[in-house]
Order: sequence, then structure tokens, then C-alpha cells
Amino acid sequence: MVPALLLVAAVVLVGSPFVVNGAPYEASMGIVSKIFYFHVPFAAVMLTSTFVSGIASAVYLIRRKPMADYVALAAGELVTVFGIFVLVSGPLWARKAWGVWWVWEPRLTMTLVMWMIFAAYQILRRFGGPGTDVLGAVVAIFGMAVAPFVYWSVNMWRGMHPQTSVVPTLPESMRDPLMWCMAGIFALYAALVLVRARVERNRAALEAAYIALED
Amino acid sequence: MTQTATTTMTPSATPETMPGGTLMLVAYGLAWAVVIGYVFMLWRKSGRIEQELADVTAKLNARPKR
Repeated sequence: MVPALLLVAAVVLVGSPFVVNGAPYEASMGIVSKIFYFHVPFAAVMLTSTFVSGIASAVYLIRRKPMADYVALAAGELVTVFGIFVLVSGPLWARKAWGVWWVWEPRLTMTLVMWMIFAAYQILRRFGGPGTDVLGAVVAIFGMAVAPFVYWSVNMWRGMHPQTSVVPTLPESMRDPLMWCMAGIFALYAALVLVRARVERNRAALEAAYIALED
Repeated sequence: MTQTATTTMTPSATPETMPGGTLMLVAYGLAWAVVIGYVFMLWRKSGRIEQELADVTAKLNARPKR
């Protein structure tokens, strides 16, 4: 499964510079608008990952299956990793489109808050010691609860960020490159979640092996 | 140096100097750097844990059975 996903991701992402290069410029923003073809898929993956982490955490709290915790941890980590690109590429685009690097408007502020919740989740899981799996699961669920507000914030509150209606109404010449990049980044994401969850399973097995060695 | 609050808007005397192409290249460079950096970190972490797990398992198997 992982090699197949990585192969799809590699083929699509290696082709992505050519696909993005062939896509037309947005009329008012020019070349900088091409950040869109990676910014939107990374943001979509980031939001999806909050749900994967939150739902896996809920499953862990209810059923106490270790694999659910490993998936929650993997997805939570990927929220922060993909979120770094979203939070940096957005200002790079905004600098040219809006004339400023950052504005404290609803979408940007809520994205930053959500990212910080998942960054806190990572710190908690890494340095919190025994028992943080349960507390971490609750934090991940809170992080997931913020994600719908991040998505709909552009429609609910007045802000500078484009609304969610932009993607469904794209012309074909812009939609196809976006979907190409989306496919590659989602394939990469799926592979990374599986690999990271497996690493976490091995880490848990290592801890158990050390305990058995000490007995 | 003291900082005073800005209460009026003054147009910049210099033209916009931030080229869009550079910003786009920085963004794409960062995307690849984030992905490659994370994959490399994950690959190293995975290798280290698997090696350590193999070592500890070998020690466990080498112990006399009770």
C-alpha cells in the first residue's frame, strides 16, 4: 500500500511543476497566484488530517485500541508539518496580492490557532510522560472541532481571504492543475500517515521490549 | 530607538519591489523542503527505532528461558 501511494505521489509531484507552469495566470495577481496550486492542496490535507487525528483519538478513547492512538499521533503531526507550509505560503501570496504579509482576519487567525493546538498536542505527546495518550486524544478532538470554523470562517465572517466558492467555480484550465496537485499531495499524505503510524507502533514495541528486558 | 504609533497613512515613496515570481519560487521551494525534510527525518527515525528494536529483541531472545 505505502509503496504504491509513494509511487503515485512521486509521479504526480514530479510532474506538478510542468502542470503548474502550463496553467494560466490569475488576471489581477499574475504569477504569484500560482502558489494557489500547492497552497490549497496542502490546506485541504491539513484540514483532513485534523479530522483523521480527531476521529482516531475518539476511537482510542472509546475502544482503547493502540493503533487508533498511533494513527491519531501520525495525523496530528502531519497537521503541524503541512500547516507550516500553509501558514508560510499564505503570507508569501498575501504580500503581493494584499500588500501585507499577515492580517489578523478570521481565516488566517483561526488557521494559526488550530495549528497551535496541534503543535501543543505534539509537545504534550512528546514531553508529557505516561498518561498523555488520553489527555492528548482530548486535545486532538478539540483541534478537530476548530477545523470546520477554519473552513467556513471565510463565508461566515467578513475577511480578506477568498471564500470557499472559489475552487468549485474555477475554469477547467485552473481546476485540472489544482486536482493534479491535490491527487499527488493526498497520496503523499496517506503514505506518510501509514509510515508514521508504523514508526509509532515500533516505538511502542521497543518500549515494551525494554520493560521485558528489565524484568 | 523609540517607536511612535502611526495614526495616518502615508504613501510609500518607493515603488513595489517584491517580485511575484520570487515569492512563488520561495513558496514552491519551501513546499519541497518541508516534504523532503519530513520524509528524511521520518526515514532516519524509523531506521533508528527498527535497529534498536532488533537489538533489544535479540538480547531478550538470548536470555535463558525461565
